[in-house]
Amino acid sequence: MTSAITATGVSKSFGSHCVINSLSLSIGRGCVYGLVGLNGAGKTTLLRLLLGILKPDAGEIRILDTTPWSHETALYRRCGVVLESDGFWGNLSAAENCEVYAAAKGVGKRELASYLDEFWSKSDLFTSGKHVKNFSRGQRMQCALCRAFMGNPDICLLDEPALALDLNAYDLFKKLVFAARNRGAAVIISSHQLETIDELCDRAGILSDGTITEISQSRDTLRSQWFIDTSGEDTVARLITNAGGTDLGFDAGWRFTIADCEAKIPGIIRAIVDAGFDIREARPDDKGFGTAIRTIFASASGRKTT
Amino acid sequence: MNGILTVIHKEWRCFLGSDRGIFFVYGLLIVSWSIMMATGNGSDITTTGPIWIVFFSVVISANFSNTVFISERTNGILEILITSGLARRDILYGKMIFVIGMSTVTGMICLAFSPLWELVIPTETELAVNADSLLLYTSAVFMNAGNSAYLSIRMGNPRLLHIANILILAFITGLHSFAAIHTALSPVLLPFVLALLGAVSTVMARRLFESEKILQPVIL
Repeated sequence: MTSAITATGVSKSFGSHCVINSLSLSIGRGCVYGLVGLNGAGKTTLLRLLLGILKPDAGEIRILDTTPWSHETALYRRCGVVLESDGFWGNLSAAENCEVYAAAKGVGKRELASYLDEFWSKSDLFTSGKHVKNFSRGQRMQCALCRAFMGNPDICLLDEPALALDLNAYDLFKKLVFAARNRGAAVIISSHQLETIDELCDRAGILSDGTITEISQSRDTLRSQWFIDTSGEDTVARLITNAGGTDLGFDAGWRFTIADCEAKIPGIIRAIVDAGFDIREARPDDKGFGTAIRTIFASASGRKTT
Repeated sequence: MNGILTVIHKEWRCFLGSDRGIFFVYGLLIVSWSIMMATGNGSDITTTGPIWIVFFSVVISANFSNTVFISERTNGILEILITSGLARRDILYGKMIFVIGMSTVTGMICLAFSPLWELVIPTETELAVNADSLLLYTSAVFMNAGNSAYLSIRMGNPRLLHIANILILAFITGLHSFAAIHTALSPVLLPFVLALLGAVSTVMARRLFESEKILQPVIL
């Protein structure tokens, strides 16, 4: 996978307070990366460094083989950004705001119309003519997302992008992220909403003490935890173990981990049924990134208190 | 050049989208200041006259630079704008051109109005709305725009920049008026000094626009 975002030994301090400390990160094209961390951990600072708004004290950052601090407009035209501010002028309508950003990004009127038609046709935000200052927080976030994904960016840096989105808007946001990933864009989502990270991201990292701790389990490994609600007899445990599963114990059903689950789960289910046991439920016992992140946070706070 | 035009166009649309009360305030400013000009306060360009023209330039350009420079920085829009694909220098120059252009047009309307008041308000002094006063006004506006661009980034609390602008201009015109009492000064001296300072602050603003200072400040 070609690397779209590379940070090597990056450090950034504000006065005596070191926010980013020898951080290294590599994100390839077509990857959605989840960035989590406690308040004040430095997530926004990291995004600003990647965007060239802040200059690193040490280390090197490369975005699409360009140093972002060089402030090249060609690079920014390939980036989609959601930061703390939605970046929209309240005196203008959403469509007028989009026209300004489209002109800045070099997106033609026809291309903009096609983009709005493809993704935002169900929303009346861009046709109502209402000034943005009258929009709700969620509507403004939708506008920010619309701007961020305009012009098919190769890099998307999104700071709390799912904040205040309603169900429809969240579904649209997912669609935009997956579309970006499918065409090879690298997307970083910084969020406190672990469900969002879990649902959208291929990789995730925790920013703590100025560095990123990558969550070592891949999504496939995490998703190979399964739950089957059936008899508690040892025979069932043996069937699971024989099929390559690792028994995690019985609690209203059997929990186990298994590699290559798509191929092996049907065989396990068939074996249990053939052995004469009823299966009331079989599902992935999805622990996801969210659980892994909570576990790491819990162990980190445990270390600090002890 | 396209980037500058995009910024100017954006600023113009934002201005047109302003609340109607803003236009009423501008109308009021033009009427009141043109009366002040007509009643003689702006008559002598070499002594006490400049302070009125220069002060007027601050009042007018402050309104424009408030939305163009300060608001965008304090609410974080500038941060988004610089990552949108527009060159930072285009953003700076576009905004400055807009502030200078709008302030100059407003000032010219005001100056053009002032002779009309002479018809209804009898004045003892001779009105001198001429090329000198226009030059002075424009150079003062240029300096205000440059200062606003620079100070809006430089100051921790950019909302105070208009006070800083007034103090700077008061100091310069004060010096000029003091010198004019003791010696004969060329009418282009003050405009030249103001334009020079405007150019310096524009260069300094240009450097700040490339720095980390452009980030949203903490307003205390």
